[in-house]
Amino acid sequence: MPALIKALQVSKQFEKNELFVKNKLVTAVNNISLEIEKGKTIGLIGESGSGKSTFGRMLCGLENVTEGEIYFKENSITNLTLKKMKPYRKNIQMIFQSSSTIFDTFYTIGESLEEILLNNETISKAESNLRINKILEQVGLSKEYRNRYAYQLSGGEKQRVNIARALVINPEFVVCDEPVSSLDFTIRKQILNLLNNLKNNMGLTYLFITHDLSTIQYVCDSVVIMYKGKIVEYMDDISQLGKIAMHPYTSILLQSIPTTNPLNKKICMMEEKQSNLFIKKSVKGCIFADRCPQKEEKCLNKEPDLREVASGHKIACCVY
Amino acid sequence: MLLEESCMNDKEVLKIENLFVHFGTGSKKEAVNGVSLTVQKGKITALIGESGCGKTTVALAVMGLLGKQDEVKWSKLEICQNMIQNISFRKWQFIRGNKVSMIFQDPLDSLDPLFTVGNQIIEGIRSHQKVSKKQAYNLAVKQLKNLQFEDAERIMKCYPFELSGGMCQRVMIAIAILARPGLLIADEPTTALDVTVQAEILKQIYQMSRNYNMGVLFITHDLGVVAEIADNVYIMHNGKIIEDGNVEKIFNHPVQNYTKALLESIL
Repeated sequence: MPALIKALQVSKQFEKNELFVKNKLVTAVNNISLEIEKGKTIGLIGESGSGKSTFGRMLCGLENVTEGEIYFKENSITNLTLKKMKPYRKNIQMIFQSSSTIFDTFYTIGESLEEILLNNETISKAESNLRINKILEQVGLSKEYRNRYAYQLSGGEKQRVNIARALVINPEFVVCDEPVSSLDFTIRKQILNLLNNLKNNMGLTYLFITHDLSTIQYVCDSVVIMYKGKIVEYMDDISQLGKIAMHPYTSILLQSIPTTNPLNKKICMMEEKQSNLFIKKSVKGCIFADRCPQKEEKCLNKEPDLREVASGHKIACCVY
Repeated sequence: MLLEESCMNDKEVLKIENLFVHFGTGSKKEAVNGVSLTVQKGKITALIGESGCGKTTVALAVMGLLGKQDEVKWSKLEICQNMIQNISFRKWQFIRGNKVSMIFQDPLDSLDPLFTVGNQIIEGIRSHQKVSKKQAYNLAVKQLKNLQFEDAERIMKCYPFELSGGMCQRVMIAIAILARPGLLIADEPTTALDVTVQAEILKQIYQMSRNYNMGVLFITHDLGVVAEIADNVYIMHNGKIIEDGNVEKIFNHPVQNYTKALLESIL
């Protein structure tokens, strides 16, 4: 089955401009290849600054690619001009993290959604009315919400409208950039359920970007772990997470999830270890070597490649 | 409803009875409506609720940080055996920092961007103890080393923007517990942080509370964090405490429907 969207050795470098200092290049995304099949949800996990959002934005064409190629259904969409990108925009959409800043404060919700529809499709006003009512109903809001302004909505409602905004033009591929991390605990599960239902009803494909390992088991089929702009682990079957041998970074991430059983406190009872907070800017050899509890001599000399250790399971680590 | 009152009085570092807060905004709604709670020495007490239920307002009222136009009433407020009733600003300044401290949600916002970390720690020390600048510097370095900063001297010279979020939060904890207060109020201290960093900070708060026999009022909306760190739990909803008890009891035998709904929202 051909991949819906494919990234081939994609890299992104930002130029850091500082006064009186020679311009520095910062590599945010470093040589990433990823294929996403239709109907699948891939979870992209990493800590802040690991380049996960930049990668998501590049797939949407919101960020130029420094090196590499991105294909959507076998067509290259790498660094297209705004005009040429437009037909693809309809099929590739993004749900942004902050729902409070993405709406124009002078537009009602209905006007915002209508503008997107009329810009991307040639339909009559009456038809667009129907479409807006339908999408609002699908995300669980009544049609009275059309006449409200963004500041009149609560955080959870705003996130629902945010999802409606991305899905109103029926895209095939959606990048969800931390869709629940700004939300309250009680609303989080509702929104994740909503995303799951919409995926089944509309046949969507998601790239689910998050830093929270506990949410991905709920929505994703496969998982990609990123660290400092590189993929360190890829797992085709998410139910294997935590069961089979894995990259040391993944196990640190798994250990950091708070327990849900008060009789089984694990974080506070963890043994004294060297602190993980000191991250050096650049290290020779393996990018994770300065924090790795299992590092050996060879890790400091050789940079590991992402290689397949079992079917559908790739790891970038010298020790395995 | 309250925790068993069998515990000795001097074990309580915070005792609130019937706290009411009414914001001077014209609406009749009470932001905090008759909250009573206690925090015990060396124990971590969690206050849980969704956003807007008034949990931060409780913390601000305890710290005396609410504005003049806001109406704050209580029948009893006791911080480390100090009755708080019509006390002067000067007395407040003594209690804040020496008896009770607070850490906030966003560590980068609570540090002054124009001063080095060292400057801010030394300022904290010198406003509470009569020591020379040199002595204060040494105390500050020692305090940072206590919080497992290996290169404390370098951190002292850094500006907040040069540090990561987790490091800033640890600097905040360092400043908050300079005078070894009996009570620490932590207002969502890990919400803005990564999971790996969150684990570090939680461990640090847990160890501080055990090592210095400090009571902690831990405000959060994340039940996972609560299960990990808390001894006692209060559930707050619409300005009222609706359920309280020991953490195992709340997680395994909740009584109120709202608590049950909260527990169901755990993924």
